[in-house]
Amino acid sequence: MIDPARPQVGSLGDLALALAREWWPQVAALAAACGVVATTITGALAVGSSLERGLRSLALDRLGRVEAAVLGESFFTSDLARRLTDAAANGGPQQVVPAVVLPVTVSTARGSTIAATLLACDDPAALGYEPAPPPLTPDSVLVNEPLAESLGVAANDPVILRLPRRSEVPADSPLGRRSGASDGRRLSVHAILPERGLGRFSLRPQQSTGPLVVTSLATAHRVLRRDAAINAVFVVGMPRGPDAAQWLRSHLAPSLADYGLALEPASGSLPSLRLTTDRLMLSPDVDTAAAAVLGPVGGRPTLVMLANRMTAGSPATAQASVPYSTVLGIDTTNLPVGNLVNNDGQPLAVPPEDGIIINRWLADDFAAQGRPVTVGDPITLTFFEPETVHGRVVESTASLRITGIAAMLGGATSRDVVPEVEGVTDEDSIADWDPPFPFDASRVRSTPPHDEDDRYWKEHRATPKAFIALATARRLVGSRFGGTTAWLVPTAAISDLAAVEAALVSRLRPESTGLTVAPLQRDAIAASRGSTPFGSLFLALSSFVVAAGLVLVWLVFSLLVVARRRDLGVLAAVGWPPKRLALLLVTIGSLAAGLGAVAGAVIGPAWAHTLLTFLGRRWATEVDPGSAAAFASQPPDLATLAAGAGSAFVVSLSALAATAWRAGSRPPRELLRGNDVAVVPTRRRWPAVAALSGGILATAATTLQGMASPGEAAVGTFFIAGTAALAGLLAGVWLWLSSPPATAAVRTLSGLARRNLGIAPARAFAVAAIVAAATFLVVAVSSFALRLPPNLSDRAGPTGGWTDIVRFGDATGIDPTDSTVRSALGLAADQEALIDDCDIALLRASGGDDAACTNLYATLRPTVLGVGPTFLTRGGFRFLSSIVVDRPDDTPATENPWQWLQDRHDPSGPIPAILDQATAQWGLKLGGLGSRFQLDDGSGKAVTLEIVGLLEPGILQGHVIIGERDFERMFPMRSGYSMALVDASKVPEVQRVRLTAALATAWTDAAPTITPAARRLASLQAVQNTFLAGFQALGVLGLLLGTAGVAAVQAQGTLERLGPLSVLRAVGFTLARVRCLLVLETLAMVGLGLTIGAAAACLAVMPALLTGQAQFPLALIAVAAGGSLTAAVVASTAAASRHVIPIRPRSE
Amino acid sequence: MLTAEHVSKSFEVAAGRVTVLDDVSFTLGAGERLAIMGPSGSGKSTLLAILGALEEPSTGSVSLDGVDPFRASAADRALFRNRRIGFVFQEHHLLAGCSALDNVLVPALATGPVTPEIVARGRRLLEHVGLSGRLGHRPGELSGGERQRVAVARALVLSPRLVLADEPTGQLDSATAADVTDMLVDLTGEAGGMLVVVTHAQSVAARVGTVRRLVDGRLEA
Repeated sequence: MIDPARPQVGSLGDLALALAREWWPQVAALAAACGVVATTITGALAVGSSLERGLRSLALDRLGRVEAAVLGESFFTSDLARRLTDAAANGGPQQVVPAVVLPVTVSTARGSTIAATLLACDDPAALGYEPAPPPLTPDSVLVNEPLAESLGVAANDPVILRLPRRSEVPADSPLGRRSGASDGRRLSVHAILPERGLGRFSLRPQQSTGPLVVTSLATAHRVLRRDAAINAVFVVGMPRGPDAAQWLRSHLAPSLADYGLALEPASGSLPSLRLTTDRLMLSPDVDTAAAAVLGPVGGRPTLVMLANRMTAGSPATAQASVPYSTVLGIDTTNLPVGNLVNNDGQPLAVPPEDGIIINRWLADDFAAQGRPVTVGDPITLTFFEPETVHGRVVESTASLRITGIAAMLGGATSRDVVPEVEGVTDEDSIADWDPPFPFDASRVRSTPPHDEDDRYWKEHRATPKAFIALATARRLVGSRFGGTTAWLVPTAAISDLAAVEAALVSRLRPESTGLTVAPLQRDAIAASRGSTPFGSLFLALSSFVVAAGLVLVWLVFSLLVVARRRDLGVLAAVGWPPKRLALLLVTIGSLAAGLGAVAGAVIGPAWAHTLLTFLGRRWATEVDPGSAAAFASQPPDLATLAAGAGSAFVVSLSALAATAWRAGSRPPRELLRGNDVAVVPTRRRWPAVAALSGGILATAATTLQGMASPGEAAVGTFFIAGTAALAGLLAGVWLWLSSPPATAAVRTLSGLARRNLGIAPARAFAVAAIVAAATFLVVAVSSFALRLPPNLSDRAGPTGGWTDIVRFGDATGIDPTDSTVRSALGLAADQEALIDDCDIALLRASGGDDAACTNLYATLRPTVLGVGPTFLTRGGFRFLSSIVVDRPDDTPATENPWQWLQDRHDPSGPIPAILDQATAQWGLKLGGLGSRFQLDDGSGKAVTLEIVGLLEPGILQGHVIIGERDFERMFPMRSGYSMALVDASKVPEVQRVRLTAALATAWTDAAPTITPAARRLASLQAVQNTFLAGFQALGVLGLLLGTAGVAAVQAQGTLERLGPLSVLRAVGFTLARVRCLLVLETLAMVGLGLTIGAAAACLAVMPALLTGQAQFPLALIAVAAGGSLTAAVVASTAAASRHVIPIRPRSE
Repeated sequence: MLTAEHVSKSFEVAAGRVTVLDDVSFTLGAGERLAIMGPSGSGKSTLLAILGALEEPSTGSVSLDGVDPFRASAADRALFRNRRIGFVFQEHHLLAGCSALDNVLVPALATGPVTPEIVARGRRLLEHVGLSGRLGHRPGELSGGERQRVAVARALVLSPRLVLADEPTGQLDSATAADVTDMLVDLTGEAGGMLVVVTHAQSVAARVGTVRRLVDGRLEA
C-alpha cells in the first residue's frame, strides 16, 4: 500500500521511472527502436558464436572421443600401439586404438567409382562415437551415407575396395612406383552409417562429410597384403592432467621398424650387420644418427646405384655392355662384409673420383663379348637421374676409368649390400623384374646359351658388379632423399644389439621420418574458430541496419523530447541544471535502451538462427554441398549475448545522448513555449551547400575516373561515385526541406504538405535518408556480385585457361600425356587420343588445409603447391600485383611473373610464393606483396617465404604456390603429385565427359577427384555472392526500419498537430482530405528516399550493368519500395483516424 | 532586493526588429510585492522571464540580492533559479505521472535526492494550500484550482527569495483565483520573500499590492 504522505519520487532515478511510466508510449517506441539495434548487433554476434559452436561441435563429432593420434606418412608396426597401450595402463588414456587411415577408391559392380577415406580398426566402438557403430564382420565394410548415396549401395550389397599399392620408396626416385597399381578386394556392405558419429569420421575439420568406408584391420591388411602394418594410433579418453598429445609425445617410443629401418645380419665373408630402410635411401637424419652410433664401431656408409648399362669401349671401337647392374659406392675397400681384393689377394684401393673397380665376373663378361678390359680402360655407366623430372625418369651417363678388378671374394660377393627393392630383388629371374622404371627386358641375356645375366642373377642376385667412391656415387645418384642406402657394421664390434638400436632410435626425431603426433581435438577446436570472423563479418554487413536503427532511436527519442518539452521546460525553469536535465533524459533513455537490450538478447538468437538458415541453405546449394551440418544452429554462448546486448545498450545511449544534452541545454522558455527547434539541428545552410557541391564534384570526378579504369577498379570507383552522389543528393534534400517557406500563398494540398514537411525538416530528412541509404545499398551491392566470366578458357582469367582440377587421394607420378607411361594405364585408343589433346600440369602439394573462402574452418596449415616448368612457362591467371625483382645478371625482365618461382636468384633468401589476394589478406592474414611468413616444413622446422605476387581470386585460391624445386627442398619427404590442372579446351565439349572418364581411368589408383574449373570458380564466387545476398536482405530490413521511422514520425506529427488538423476539419476539410494531406507528406519523405537512393545506386552499378555482370534488382526494389510506401500510407491513414483528429479542437 | 536597470529586450524577425521591453527599471525590497498589468503583447511575460533568469535581456541588468544571474554560466544560473526563485505559470505544468507531493518536491531534485526536511516542508505547504488530503493524487485527479495550488506549493518549496507568477489565475474562476492569489501572497509573505505577479485581472492585482502597468514595453510609473 502506498502512503500518500510519503513521496514516491525521492531521487533522479525515481523521477526518471515515474516519467518513463507516464511517457510509456514514447518510451515503448524508443525501447522498440533500441531493441532493433540490440537484436541486430546481438544477432550478428550470435551468428559468429553459433557458427563457431556449430563448427566446433561438428569437428568434435567427427573425432568421437579421439583426442590425439600418432600419424605416419608411412606404415609403422602395430607394436608401437601395443607399447602405448602398455604405457596407458599407468594413468594414461582409456583406449589406444591402432588403425589404418588411407585414401581409397570404392566401386560397385555397375562400375561406379568414388574416392573415399578408409578407416580400418578392429574396434570402431572404442573410438567413442555416438551412436556406437555396429560390430564389423569378416570381409565386410561399413559405409557412410554420402558414400552409399553416391554409389547407390545398400546393406549387403557388394563393393570393391581398392587401395593403391604403396611403395615406401619415394615416387620421385627411379625405383619409386609412379605407374598405377592397386590391390582390390570384393567386400560386402554390412551396414550404412548415418551421417553423424562415426559416419562423419575425419581427421581434418571440414564442413562437409566425405565418403567413408570402415573395415577391420585384418581385412585392410589382406587388401594391403601387409601384416601388422598401421599408420595411425588413436588416443581416446584421456584422464584429467596432461593433454593427450603431450602424453603421446612423452610415451611415443618408436622402434627402428616403426621408422622403416632394419638392422640385420648381412651376408658376406665377415659377420656383419646392415642398416637399411624400406624407403631405399636412408634419410639425412638417419644417416647422421648412424654416423654417430655406428661410425665409432666400424660402420661404413654405402650407396648402391643401378646402372642401366655398363659399357666398355666406344661406338668407334667394339663395344661390350652389361644391362641392369648394381654399382656400390664405398668409402673403404675394407668393408665390414669383407675386403675387396684382386685376384692376387692384394687389397684394392678406394677408386678416385673418376675411377671404378669392376668385379671379375664383369671383366670376364666384357672379354667374352670381345671387348676385354683392364685397369685404366674407360667404362661408361648409364643410369637414371636420382630424381624424376616432373614425373619422368631421365637417363644420364658417367664415364669412369677402371682402377681395379675385384676377385669374386670377400666383400665383392656380398649380395646384402643392396637393399631389397620390391619387384626387383625379390624376383627369381632378372627376366621377371617388374621395376617401376622403363625396363627393356630385351637387353637382358636370359636365354641359353647367352643367359649370362640370368645366371649371374641366380648365382649372385643383386651383388654389385662394380664399386665406385662413395663421393662419386653421391654425386651421381645422391638426392634430397639421402646419400646412403645402407650402413654396414662388423658384428664383432657390437656386443649389445638392442643397445645399438636404442642408441639409434634415441637420435631420431619421429617428425623427421614422417611420424607425427597430432593433437586432433585441440586442432579441431582451434580450427573451429573459423576462417572468417563471421560475427564481425555479419556485424559489418549489419552495420547499415544498426545505423538505421540508431537513426530510428534518435528519431524516436527526439519525438519523445519534443512531445514532453513543456515538462522539461518546467524542470529547467525551476532550476534543474542542463547537465542534470540531460542526465534525467539519458536515464529515461537508458531504461528504454535496457529494455531493448534485453529484448535483443532474447530475439537476437532467433535472428541469428534465421541468418544461419539462410547462409546454410545458400552455402549447401552453391558453395559446398553437404555442408549444412556446419550451420546447424547451436545456441550462442551467454558471453556473446551479453556482449551484444551491452554494446547495443551503449550505442543506443550514445545515439540519444546528444539529443538529451541539446534538449537539456535549451533555454527554459523555448521548452515551455514548445518550440520544435529544441531538438532539431540548427538550420545552418552552408554545410549542406558544401555537401551538395562536394557531392556533385566528387561524383563527376570519380565517374570520369571510373570510365578510365579497368575491371574491378572501375566497379570500386563507380561505387565511390554513387556514394558521393548519394551524399550530394541528400544534402540537396536537406536544403530543400530546410529552405524558408515561400512567400506565396499555399494553393494546393501538396503545397500544404510541403510546408508541413518544413516544420520539422530534421525528421523528414532522417526518414528520407534512411530510405535512400537502404535503397542505395540494396541496389549498389549488386555490382559486386560475381558471375562466371564469359570466356572460361581465357588464360588471363580466374581459371588460368585450365578446364579441370584433379585432386589425388594418393600422390601419383603418372602423367597420362607421357606416351611412355600411358601404354600401361589401360586406356582405349580413343581415350588416349582425347588425353593427347590436353595440356596437363602436375602440381605437388603438401598435406595441409584449404585456405580458400569456401572452407569455414580456420586454416592451421595451408596447403603449399609446388608448380613445375609446364605450369610456369604457360603462365596465366591475372596478377593484381607482383614484385619487381632486380635481376643481378641484367637479363631482361619477363612479362610472366610466374617465372620468379622458377628463376630464384637468391637460394639463401626466403622462398618466393604467389597467393591469391583473398587468401593472403583474409584466409591466412599474411599481408600484402613483399610480406614474409613462415610455414612448417612438416618436420617441425620453420621455413620463411615471401609473397612475390598476388593473384586475382581464381581456382587456385586457398593455396600457397611456390616453385617445384623449392617445394622439393621444403618438403624433401614428399613425393609424387597430389594435384593436376587439365586444359581440355581443345577437346570438343561433347567429348568432355568421355575425357573425364579417361582421366579417371588413367589415375584410378590415385583416387582422383575431378572437378571442372568452372564449378570450382562458381563455388568460390558463391561465397561472395552469398554474403552480398545477406547484405541485400539486411538492406531490405533497413528499408523496413525506415518505414517504421515514417510511421513514428507520422504518428507523432499528427499528435503534435492535433490542433491545426482539427481546425482543418472544423473549417470544412473532410477526414479523407486530411488523410490525403498526411499521405502526401509521407509519400514525399519515402518517395524522396527511394528516388535518391535508386538514382545514386544506378550510377554505382553502371559498369557492372553495362558489362552484364550485374542486373538491376528490380524485383527486390519493387518489393521493398512497395512495402515501404504501403506501410507509410497505412501509417498515415491510421494516424488520421476520426478518433485521433476531432472535428473540434480540444482545449487543454 | 530585486533590481532591474534599463532592461530592454528585442527580437529579430522576418519583418524586422521588434522591441518587447524598452528600458525598464525598478527595484523591489525584501518582502515587497508587485503586480504588473498590461495588455496582451505588452511584454509582461518577457519581463517576468528576464526577472526569473529564464531569458537574458538585450540590454540592461537584473540582480537579486546583488547577484546578476546573467553573468553566471547556464548551470549556475539554473542553480540560482533553483535556490532563489519560485515560478508559478499560467498553466500548472505539473508532471502528470507524479503525485501532488512529488510535483511539489521536483525543484529539490534538481541538485540531488530529496531530504526529509524538504519532504516535510512540501507536505506542510500542501496542507497550507488545503490539499492535505490530496498528497498522493495525480494532476489528472485534481481540479484546475487544486493543480494551481500544487504549483504554488512547488514554487515555494525551497523558500525562494523571489516568487514570480505569470497569470497564475488565468484559467481559474474568480473565487478560486482569489483563493490562489491569497495563498500566494500569504505564503510568500510568511517566508519574507518578494512576489511579482503578472496578471490581466484587476482583482488579482489588487490583492497582490503595488500595481504597475506595462504598456508597449515601457513600465509606467
